[in-house]
Amino acid sequence: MNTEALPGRTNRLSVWLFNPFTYIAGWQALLLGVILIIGTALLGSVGNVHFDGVLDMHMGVEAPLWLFIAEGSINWLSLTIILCIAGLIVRGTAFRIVDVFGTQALARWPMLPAAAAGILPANQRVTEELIKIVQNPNQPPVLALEPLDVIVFGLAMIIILVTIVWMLVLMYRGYAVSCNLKGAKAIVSFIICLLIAETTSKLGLYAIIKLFPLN
Amino acid sequence: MSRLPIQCPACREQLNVNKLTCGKCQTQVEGLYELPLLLRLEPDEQRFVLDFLKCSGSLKEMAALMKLSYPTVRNRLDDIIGKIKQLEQVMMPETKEQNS
Repeated sequence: MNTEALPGRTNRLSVWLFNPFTYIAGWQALLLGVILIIGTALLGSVGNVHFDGVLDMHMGVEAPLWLFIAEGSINWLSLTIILCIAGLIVRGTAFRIVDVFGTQALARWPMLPAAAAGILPANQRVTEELIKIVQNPNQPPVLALEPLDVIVFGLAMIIILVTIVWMLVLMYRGYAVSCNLKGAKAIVSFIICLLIAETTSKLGLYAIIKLFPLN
Repeated sequence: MSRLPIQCPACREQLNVNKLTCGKCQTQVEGLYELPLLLRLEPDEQRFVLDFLKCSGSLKEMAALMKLSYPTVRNRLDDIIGKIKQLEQVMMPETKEQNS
């Protein structure tokens, strides 16, 4: 069997990190991705870490577990459906829909460590203080925080930023592999899809909260 | 054995076979023979085509054997199909000239 096209052991790790879809796609990726989306929602519900948009992550507001699961699902589905439509238009030939759904579900896995970073007690304390300031705009802003909390919060923000960029890379790779798109065509169509999906996911979440009010 | 060159290093034109040698008795045959289309593919592409045939054209089986995902194998096949189509276009005028 031909093994010449396979990456060597040295860069195999980088392929697993930045383009795991070389090895995993379809139903396997879909199952694993859905489990990770639910896991992220569970972790998010512990520390009130919300993924309220395809690329959004915010902390602070307490909500029932179903909302965290709905956020993850809406984010995944809104981008996937739009990418499927774009794939059909740009590629012009058939591809497996399950590959797009599977790769996009798995592409959201960096949000799991992001949620873990968000639930750190130091982050919770900083978030609570920030919320107090926002909720009392008439009072002078005073942050009663330990320096260590601020450092941990800063490091967590860097980790979260890196994981969001990492997720973006995975989303693009998943789209490119599933629909066999390359170059400018792939990049431009992906950016357009991302912008549309960011809007539709926000609208979707707004509709869900309107339909099922939290209080 | 060194890699078979398929393009002229000077003008990038497709190369043809001029001389064939028997590996056993060293008899040499000279002439002008066109390289078959499959031999114009890269060695790893040729191997892919052979493996694909051995798998009875099943991409799922290919993916399992190569330990790669289905779309990765399908994309590779699509790329080879694209290259074969390009080569066919290049080779067609040559074949017509030889036939006439």
